[in-house]
Amino acid sequence: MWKLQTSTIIEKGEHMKAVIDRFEGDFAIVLFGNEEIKVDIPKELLPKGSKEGSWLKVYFELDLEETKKREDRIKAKLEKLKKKGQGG
Amino acid sequence: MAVSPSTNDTAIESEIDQEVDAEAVIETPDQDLLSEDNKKAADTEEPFELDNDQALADERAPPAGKLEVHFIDVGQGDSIFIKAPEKNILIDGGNRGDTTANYLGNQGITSLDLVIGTHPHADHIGGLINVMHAIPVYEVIDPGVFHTTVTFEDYLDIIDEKDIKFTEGRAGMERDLGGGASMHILHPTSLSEDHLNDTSIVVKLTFGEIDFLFAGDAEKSSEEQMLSRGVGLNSNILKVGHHGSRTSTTQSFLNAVSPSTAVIMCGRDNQYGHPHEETLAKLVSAGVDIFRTDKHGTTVITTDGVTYDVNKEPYNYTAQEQETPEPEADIEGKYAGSSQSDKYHYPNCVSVNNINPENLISFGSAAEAKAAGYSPCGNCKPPQ
Repeated sequence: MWKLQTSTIIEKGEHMKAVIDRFEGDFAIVLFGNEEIKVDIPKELLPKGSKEGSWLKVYFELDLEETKKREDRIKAKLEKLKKKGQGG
Repeated sequence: MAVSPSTNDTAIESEIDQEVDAEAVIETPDQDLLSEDNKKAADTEEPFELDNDQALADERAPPAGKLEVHFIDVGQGDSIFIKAPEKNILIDGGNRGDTTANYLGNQGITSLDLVIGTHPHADHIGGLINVMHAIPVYEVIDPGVFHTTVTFEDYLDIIDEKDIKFTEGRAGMERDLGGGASMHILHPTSLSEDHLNDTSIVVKLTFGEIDFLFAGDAEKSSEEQMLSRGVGLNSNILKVGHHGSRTSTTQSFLNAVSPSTAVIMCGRDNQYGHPHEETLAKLVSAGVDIFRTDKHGTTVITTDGVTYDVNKEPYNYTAQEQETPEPEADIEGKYAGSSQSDKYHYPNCVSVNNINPENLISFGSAAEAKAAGYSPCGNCKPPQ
């Protein structure tokens, strides 16, 4: 896998470019960027019409709002359990 | 492991007897078995290109030297180096990187007469790029189908940059490799397929009485085409198509090739399950010795044209099936509790995750927990 911080693939505010090299069973073998970093992606995660040789635009964008929302919700659940565990 | 061929003693003899002309390529011993219809179709096939066909006829003598075929362990991919008495040939180069280039360097190979890129997938042509950067290559045979990857573009660029002769490989082509070795291309006939695996160049290499069939990633439809064209598939050694995937090696194809030895090229613990069980089972039930680059690493077959020798012992399929299961993780106490509480839980109860490890205690049974003054958790409800 790639490291976001050091990636040369993602220009700021741009999508990554990736190409489907081939399919093996349930996976598409997708090559990212000019370095062609190989990532196996389950076929069902790809857009309809994807085939060998199709190029893809791939976005990974940090969703801070969603992250915060889930942090809050799950922390609350954990705290509830902690109390239960200790008091129970 | 040394092997003597038993099935195609007549193959070379009959090829030698024949006039080598434009039709000789499909005039194989198997053709006698063809139906009239197939013969007709085969006879109308386009004549192959041959640089020097009379020379080929004259040189069809029993080989004097040795021929080596190196199935290079490149992980999940193919890379096969053929050291014929007079020529060095490379079929595919594995994924992009230096594995194949380094292997050839370590073998003291300073040039290649011929490189075959079976088809444009990165696990076949990727490693050829660095090979072509590293040493002179005189010719590339390629199916001539395009792909849109950076790897394929770079592969084309280096061929162009180094002015390497580029030949579109088609069924019917034959090359004399000198020293008693020759090579036929059995597939593809055309590029009507839009599935790249099925554009794979399939090569039959003949040295004396020994034949190798390198199936690339050819799948079922390619196998059917080869069967219907009645090309001479019978070979002692089969490089199994498409890494042992179930999409290749149909029973009828395997019957026609009728190998004694099969080599499967795939990566250790690859995510695609190669080789698939179906393929292994077919090979085993046909009594074929199996060699796998994921188990054996690089495997070398050496032949004098009469017998051949593999530098490894065959993969033992039965032993693999009986492999002892991994020992199960130690199961700690059947029930868990905290020294700071009076409840006992199933070990997977969410409350257990919250117990400070230094307070964690375990009980072998519910009775043991109760005897220690604990009562069952109300959430996970372990037995009373």
